[in-house]
This record gives sequence, structure tokens and C-alpha cells, in this order.
Amino acid sequence: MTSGSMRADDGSGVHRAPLFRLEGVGFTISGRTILDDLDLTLEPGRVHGLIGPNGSGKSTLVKLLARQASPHRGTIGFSGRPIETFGDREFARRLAYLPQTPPPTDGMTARELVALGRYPHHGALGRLGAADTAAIDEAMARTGTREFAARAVDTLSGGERQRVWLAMMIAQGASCLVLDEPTSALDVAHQAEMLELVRRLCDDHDHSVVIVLHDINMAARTCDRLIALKGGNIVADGPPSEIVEPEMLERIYGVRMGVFRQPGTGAPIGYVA
Amino acid sequence: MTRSPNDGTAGRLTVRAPGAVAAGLWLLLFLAGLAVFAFAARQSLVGLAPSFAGDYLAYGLSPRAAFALLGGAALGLAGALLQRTLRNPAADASTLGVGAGAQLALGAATLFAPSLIAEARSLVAFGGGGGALALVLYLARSRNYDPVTMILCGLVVSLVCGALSATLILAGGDYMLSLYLWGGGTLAQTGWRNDAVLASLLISAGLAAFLLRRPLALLGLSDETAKSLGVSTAAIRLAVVLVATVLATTVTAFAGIIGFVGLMAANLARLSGARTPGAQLLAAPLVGAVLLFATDAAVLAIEAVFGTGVATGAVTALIGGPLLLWLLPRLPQRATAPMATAFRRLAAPRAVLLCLAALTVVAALVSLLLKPDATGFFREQADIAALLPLRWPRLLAGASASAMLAVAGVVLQRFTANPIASPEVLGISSGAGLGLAALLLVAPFAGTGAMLVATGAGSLAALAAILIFARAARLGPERLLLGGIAVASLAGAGVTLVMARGGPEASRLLDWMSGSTLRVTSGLALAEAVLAVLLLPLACLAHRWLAVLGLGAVTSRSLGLSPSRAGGLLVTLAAILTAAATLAVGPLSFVGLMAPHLARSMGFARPREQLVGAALLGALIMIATDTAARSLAFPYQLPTGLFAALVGGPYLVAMLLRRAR
Repeated sequence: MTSGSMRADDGSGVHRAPLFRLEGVGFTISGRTILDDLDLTLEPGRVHGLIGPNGSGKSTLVKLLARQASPHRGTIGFSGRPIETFGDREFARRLAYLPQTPPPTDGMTARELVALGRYPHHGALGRLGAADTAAIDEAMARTGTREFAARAVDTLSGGERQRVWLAMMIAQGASCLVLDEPTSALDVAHQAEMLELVRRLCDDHDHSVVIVLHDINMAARTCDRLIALKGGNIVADGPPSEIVEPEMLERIYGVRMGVFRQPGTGAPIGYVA
Repeated sequence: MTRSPNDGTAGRLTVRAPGAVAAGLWLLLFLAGLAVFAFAARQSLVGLAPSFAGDYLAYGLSPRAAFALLGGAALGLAGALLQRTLRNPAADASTLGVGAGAQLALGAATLFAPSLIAEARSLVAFGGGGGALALVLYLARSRNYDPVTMILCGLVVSLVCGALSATLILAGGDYMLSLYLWGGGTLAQTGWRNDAVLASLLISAGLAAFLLRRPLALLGLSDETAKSLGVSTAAIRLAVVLVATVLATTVTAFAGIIGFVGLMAANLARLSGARTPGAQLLAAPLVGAVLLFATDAAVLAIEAVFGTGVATGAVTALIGGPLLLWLLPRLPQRATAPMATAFRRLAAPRAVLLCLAALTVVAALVSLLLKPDATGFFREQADIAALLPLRWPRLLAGASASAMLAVAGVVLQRFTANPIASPEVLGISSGAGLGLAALLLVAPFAGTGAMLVATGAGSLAALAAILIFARAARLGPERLLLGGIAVASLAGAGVTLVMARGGPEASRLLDWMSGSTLRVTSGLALAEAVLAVLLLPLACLAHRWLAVLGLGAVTSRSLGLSPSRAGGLLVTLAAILTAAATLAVGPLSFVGLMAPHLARSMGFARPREQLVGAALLGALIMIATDTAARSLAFPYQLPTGLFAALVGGPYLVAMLLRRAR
């Protein structure tokens, strides 16, 4: 498949528009360039990992993808259409976004929060129909959050809370999920569990995912493709096996790093040398 | 010393003006003030008997000038200390409720313990002001002392204290109205005694500030940092807050509330190039002294030329209000920890709502049929027929207005996710008051119709000002409230200016502020009811918006709800509801703050339930207070709005305290 053409072949003979297509995207905050003329194409049905050091522009990039902010220069296409042409709720039915720090929920129960994910479907006045209820139930079942459906979200542990937010995104019914460091507040076990969930959404349900991750090894384990940013530019882009290489990692993070193969799977593991 | 990297706002507020130029400008302003003062003094001495003129100069005008300088310095120092130690550039005695608390304490002491006033005036003021400040800080604690929350709490506490003071004034009659005049902040002196007290206090406070300047520099960072550097934060903060409170309340005790001088002095000192804490603590009192002296000289000149009294404190508030307006969008927002709220939830909210509705109907019937002295019920048809036309309008108007206020409160609290947001602090009702004040200034004996038009126009003007301000400052909807706070402060100062003139307009304004439903006509009552019936369903239709918006702008947007559009519509609805309600029950009932809380703590957790529950509770509260206000002191009638505030204020504070814990 050629990334230059507007339509890409996913192998099944059905043509699908690229998930995202960024051309010359730039973003500036009070004179400081955060993103610098970015060109990038993301394909549907895959897990894309955004990595890079602090201040590299990862969070800004996902905010632009999730339409939380508009680029100052350049254009962003989403599913073959300019991103700004989507209606508010239309866009929310196709893309769900989890910010780095989810807001406090003021006594809301887990189920009520997940049910809010149906807002893009029923709007302000529509009734919560059978399809909505089914979507909520399925989202909670898939994330294993049914057992605390009636508990207040604020009283859940970090890992449980993050799963509830993920359930809300699934209930939204969007086929594209954008997550900004969803694991930053979790311990190793919960990080693995969360990323496993994300991976399964892509594999079993053909979701597309864009995820910002700090831990290079977790990212390599989860993602199909890693895109490394540094100073607002893309410095590396490719499958994990190509990115987790000593010289590549040094170029991204600016420290000397080594790589060894995980016994058994042979997956590359990076470490600071 | 380099500026701390954490001091972001201070950095943004600092203009690189060479200190020498700024100092020169301040000196120039001082000299101008001196010239104006000399002019005013000469004008006011003309025509006086020579011996009296000499005495007036020596024991009236000169101590007044000295008091302006000393008081300005004291307020400037207090402002700088508070801003530094609370890390809040909008902190000031007037924005944190200190002035209003001191005024309330002085009013209460004047009425109930006159001997205390004579012997320990400053002590009484300190008690009131300190209590108010402690309450504000305690309330703000649950949100990590977020500067905006702190100012909001200060406003709520000020409003409650103001309502209580107004009650005292009404209870005390003309004698107490003079207290309100004094409350506007007049610097008139009759000798050097107050100057001497203030000067000695200022010297000791200055010494304390000098000794505390190093720990204060560290407190400007975060508490964690200061603590890890070995500063005992709690003790230092307590000491600094105490010193500042003593300074501010002593000035209040002698001269009433002099609004925003501390706020202006500390910020202008920073703008003039005072970067380090030491320099700020030195510059702020000087700037404050010059500011108050120049303002007072201008006020004296106006009095001498036009012969009308103007309260200096209200003038400073009018000058300082816009500064607050400018400052508020620039306040740092502190991350607030998610509150682990363990609200009760009702298992069957609908059944409880039905019960509430039934209870409201029963209460209305009881209120209509109760004998005036509450000893029994009317049974005779003739009695009922005679009394009903007198009773139903005020009952209907009060209940409708309260339901609207309650719903406006739910809307504002939900979508700002702030339990202290309410129509009372949105500035709409203050705008209505300002409109009325303007009308009464022109036509002191205007009729009811004109008053309705004036309050309506005032509310709409306030609403427009808030919306324009919010748009110009590009505030997110959650910070739209800030516009309301600033408008409320400005309008409050305007009302005080009119009140301080005395005369018939003052007592009529006070009457309206007290929320008397006595003069409600059947036409107004029907209009209120129609508005309530039309507008309340609109709010209920928006219940999903409220649920989504409560999660903040980012999540709203990602769920496909534009926070600026939906938020703007909701605030407009809340403003219209408030404006309509204020016409009937006055600006100070606090139903809009109280009913949403009550509904929430009863277990109406979801927005729709809370909306309906709060509306019913609001109506119920108003029916109950109206009946009580009518019967308790029969044959006298207590003003309903104020009576509600008297019940509601303490209840609210207790509730917030429980929640903060």
C-alpha cells in the first residue's frame, strides 16, 4: 500500500481512506513552535503509538487529532474528509478521546458515566433506547467494570477508574480511540491490563487506536507502529522492531541506550546504558 | 534575588518598568493629591469663623489627611501580606470577606452591646473580620486554596454578612442607617486619636513583616517546597494572616469598608517593579498610602465644590473593581484534587419528588388559611374570601421566584462543577440593585412599574457585561463566573454610593434589598408564575447537557457537546431566571445557593432529579419562610428575602463546612 495515495488497500480488496492524513500541520503557543510542519498518515485498524521525550509535542498532536484544538497551519483529514467538516456529535460518534487526567466526576456512578458515552447518539433530548442500553452493557462487560457499576467513580482505584473511562469510550461506539498517556498513573500490572484491553479492541473489533505512551517497552509490546516526536518533528516512524534499536533510541531520547532480546519471544527491550 | 520560577502570575503581571520612573510617577501623584487637598481645605474653610476654622484644620482636616495616608499604608501592607501568603494576587480584605465580617460584628455590637463598641471598637471589628476570613479559608481548603474558589467564597461570605447587616439596620431603624453610611467608608476624623492607634499598629506590623520576609519568600513557592526547606508553613501563615487581619479590621473599625485599596496597592506595587517580597512589602504600603490620600483629596474637593457627600471607600471600590475584572482571568488555576463525594442516593427519587410536591401544596394551603397570629385556621368562607386576595399574590410570586432561583442555582453549580456557584454570586441580582439605585437617584419616588423596568434593565445590563467580559477574556464557561464576581463587586460599590447619600432613596433601596414581598401585586405574581412555567421545563430539557458539562470542557467536547455554545445558553437561561426572580424576592434570599444543596444532600444525584427537587424545595422554603416572616412578629412583618437569608446563610455555612471536612 502506498501512503501517498488518498485510498489505501487493506488487503481485503476493500478500499479504506486513511484514518488520519496530516499535511504541513503546525502549532505555536506564544511564539514557541510546538509542532513544526508535520506530514503524517495513519492507517485504520491499527494501534499507533506516539513516543518521545517530554515537551516533544505528543500531547499537542493527539489534541489536534481529537479536535480539542485546531492547527495553526496545515490541514488534517479524518476518514477521507477535512476534520473540521464533521459536526460535533458526528465526530464524537467516530472518535473517542481520553485526556491525560480525566476530570473528577462529582459523585456519578460508573454506569452513569459510561451511559454518558451515548450522548453523541441520542443528543440532549433523545431517549436512552434499547440499542444504547445494549452498547453500555457490552462496553462494561468488555472492560470488566460491571461489578462496580453502581459505585461512585471517585471512590474507585486508579486502575478501575481508568477502565470505566475506557468503557465510556467504547460505549461511544467510535471506531477510533485516541488516548493520551492512559497508563501514567497505574502500576505495572494495571498498565499491562489496560494496554491488553486496548490491543484486543483493535484485534477483535477492528478499532483504530492512537495512544501516547511514555514507556518505550510497553509501547513496543502494544503497538503496530511507533511514531517518535522530538521538538515538534517526527524523528522516527516504523514498526517497533525498527524503532527499538540503540542508535534510534539515542536519537529520540538523547541518552545512550542498549537493546536486548526478551528470552522466549525475542521482542526487543530497550534500557538506558 | 531572582524570581521564583513558580511565581508565574507575578511574572506575567510584571512590566519591566524601571523602578525609578514608577517611583517618580507615584511621587507626582502624591504631590497632585497634596495640591487637591490644599485646594479642598481652602474651599471648605472659607466662611468659617477664624477660631473654628483653625480648630477644623487642626482636628478635622489634618488628622483626616494623616488617616488617609496611614489607612492606605495599612491596607496596602495587609493586601501584600495576604497575597503573598495565600499565593493569590486577588486577595484583599474586601475580596476575602474581612471588611463585611468586621462591619457585621460592629453592627451587631452597636445594637446589642453598645458598651463594647465604646471600649473595644477595634477588637470587635477584628473578631468579625477574623471570623469571616477564617470561614473563607476553611471553605477554600477543600479545593486546595484555589485562588478563584477563594474569591468566590469571600464573595459568598461577604453577601451573607451584608444580608445580616441589612437586617440589623432594618431592625434598628434610622439610628442604624447611619451605620450603613459609615459602612461606605468615610474618612472623617475628630482628632488625632485614631491616627495614633493606627500609626503604632502600622509600625509594629511593619516590623513583623520585616522579620517574616524570608519565610514569606519561600511561602510564595509551594507549601511542600517551603516545608522541605524547613519553614513551618502553618505557623508562619497564621502569623501573617493575623497581622494582615488586624491591620485591615482596625481601618474598618475607624472608617468602614474601604474597598480594594489593598488589592490595588499590592498589584500596582508589583507592576511598578517591586519583584522581591521585601520590596513588595515596602512598596505596597507606600502605594496604598498615596492611592487613598489622592482619592480622599478628590472626594474632599468634590464635597467642597458640590456640597454632596461621597463615601471614599465606595469610590476606591469603583476604581478597584475594574482592576479585579482585569486580574481575574489571569489568576492561576490550582489543580483541585477530585473530591471523594459520598452523597446519599435515593433508591426511588420519583416517589420522593411526588411526596415533596404534595408537601408543597399542603404548605401552600396552610399558609393561605393560617390565622395571622398563627393560632389556628380560618374556617369561615367570608374570612377566607377577605384574606385570600391579600395572600395568594405574594405566596405565588415567592414560590415561583424561589423555584426559578433554585433551578438557576442547580444549572450554575452543575456546569461549573463548583458547589458555591449560585445566582447570588453571578452579579445579576447586584445588577438589578444598581439599576434600581440609578432610578431612585433620578426619581426617589418612582412607582412600582418603573422599579420593575429598572431592575429588569439592570439585570440584563449585568448579564450583557458578564457575557461580553467572558468573551473578550476568552474564558472557558467554567470561568464565566469570574465575570459575575467582578460585576457583583462593582455593582455593590455603586449601590453603596447611592445608599451612602441617605435620603428617601436609601431606605427604599434597603427595602428592596431586604426582599419584601409585601407590595407584590397580583399582576406581578401571575407574571412570575407564567415565567416559571415557561422557563423551568427548558432547564429540565437541558439535563443531559448538565451531566456532560459537569465533566469539564475536554470531555464535553470529546462527547460532541460544544462547551462554549451549550454553556453560554445555560448561563443565559440562569441569568434570565435570576433576573425574573429578583423582581419578586430581592437579591439576597440565597435560595439559589441553598435549594440545590438541599436537593443534593437529600439524595437527588442525577441532574434531572436535582433540578425538579431543588425547584420544589425552593418553593417550599419560600412558602415556609414567608409564612413565618408574616406570623412570627405579628402584627409586624419581617422582610421575606432577608428572613430567608437569615435562615439560609448559617445553614449554608454549616453545610459547606460539613462538606469540606
